[in-house]
Amino acid sequence: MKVIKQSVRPRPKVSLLLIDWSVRESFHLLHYLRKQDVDRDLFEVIIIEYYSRVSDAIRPFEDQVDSWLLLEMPEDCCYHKHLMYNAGIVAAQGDVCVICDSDAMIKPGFVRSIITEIELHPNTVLHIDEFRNMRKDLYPFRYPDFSEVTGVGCINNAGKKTRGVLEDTDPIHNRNYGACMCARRDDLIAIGGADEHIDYLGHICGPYEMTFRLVNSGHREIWHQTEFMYHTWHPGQAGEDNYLGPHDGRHISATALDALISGRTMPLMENESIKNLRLGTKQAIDVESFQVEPAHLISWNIDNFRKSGQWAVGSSSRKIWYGFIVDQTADGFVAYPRFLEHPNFSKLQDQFHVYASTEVELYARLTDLFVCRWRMVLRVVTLLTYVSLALRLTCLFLLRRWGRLTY
Amino acid sequence: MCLRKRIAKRWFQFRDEVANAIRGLQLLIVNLALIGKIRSTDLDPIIVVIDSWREAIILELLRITQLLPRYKILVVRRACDLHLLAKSNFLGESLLIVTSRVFTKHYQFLVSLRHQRRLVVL
Repeated sequence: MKVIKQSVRPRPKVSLLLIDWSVRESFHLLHYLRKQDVDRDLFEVIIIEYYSRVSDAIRPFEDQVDSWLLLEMPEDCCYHKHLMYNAGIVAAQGDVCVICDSDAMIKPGFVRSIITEIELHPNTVLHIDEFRNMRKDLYPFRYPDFSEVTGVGCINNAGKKTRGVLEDTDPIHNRNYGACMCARRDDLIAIGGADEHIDYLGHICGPYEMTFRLVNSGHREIWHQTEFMYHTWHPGQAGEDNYLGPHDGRHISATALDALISGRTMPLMENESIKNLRLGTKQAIDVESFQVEPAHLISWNIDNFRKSGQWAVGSSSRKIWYGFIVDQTADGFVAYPRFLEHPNFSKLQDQFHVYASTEVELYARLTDLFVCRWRMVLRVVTLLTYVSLALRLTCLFLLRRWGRLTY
Repeated sequence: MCLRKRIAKRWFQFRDEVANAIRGLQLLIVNLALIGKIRSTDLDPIIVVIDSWREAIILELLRITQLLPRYKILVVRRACDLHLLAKSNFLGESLLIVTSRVFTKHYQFLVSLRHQRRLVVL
């Protein structure tokens, strides 16, 4: 790890963590941070670069950057955003960590809004949604007006708010959880920081993984109703040609959803430096001593994880077989129906747990459990689901075509 | 984005969404069948909250053919429906089963409910 610059701000309230993995062409957020209506000492800006690139895009705004860290990961290692979040949390001196897009526009009251909201609602995790404009003529970024971004080409403008903030059904898919997330640094450390599990490698991940675990630990998730970010189109913004880990089909991590559903609060793989902070073994950790697990360099190597064949998109690393959770234990493998995870049914564990020494043997035993009638039922259900969803998609396609023809 | 890439993207999205829908429904059916087994003598009714009429029809068919135990199905499409049901304490039923898709769609509300009553997420 290399520290290009280290913050000398006396006691900032907010630490903005901006990450890059040698891809960002513009850091224009820094331009808008210059125009904030709060004392500059109230917030610090930390840039975390995954590889070793010293980005030229930052140079014009260097005066705004307080800390600039290069993690110096090998070039053949796939990027892992959560590792950068953890480095940022360790480096942060502010009470509140803000993880946000570095290529978005913000209004002058942005930092003030965050400070006010977090002070008003202490036990919360705050998110700020983003207006998204798909006009390609705004690329390369040419500092348009805010009204231009929310005008023609904006895909989620519903009056003065984003559509996601107005709709309360399915927020996970309707709101942009990666745009801006703010939480207290102590709260983030208490839940073990960002999860460095291999499922979050590449594009499928984001700060919402921590949001879900904070919600599980009793924090309230709130979305700012008047403050927004403004994002213009750029190539590769939806993770095209990036590596995608397990997701639900709509680019939300299946492993993060699993954490939310199961009520888990701690990460599957905790960073060592964060762990030291959490357990208080070291009160203040020097940024330069931030630890990257040596095993990550092997498991995150692009060639290694492509060879391993464990990447069936849609299924997380937690294996599920026809409603049975398959876990590895010290003695072998165990499978149990999902409802047993609920405390009400825990006393029935002996009745439904299926044990085996190998995974193949376990699946063979589970298959034996299913009588012929049930196998048939599940096949019919699968077929019905497939056909009905294919029909729905065809109808939607034809309706859209018809609409275009008659318009 | 060229046409080929757009078609490929849509196809992958469809494939993954269908795979998830199928996995979710299979999980629900298998677990309901097993819950039915252990609750065969228990008179407390089960209430299943889902968000798809297609799944509701399939579950109803399985119940009619007595492959699954007796339960009440509630189809919740909007957040306000869920709040309305919660106000009536989900019709006073005892064991509430929600699918993981319903849970993630309305998690901000259901997370609090998880600590208040018998709520199983499948």
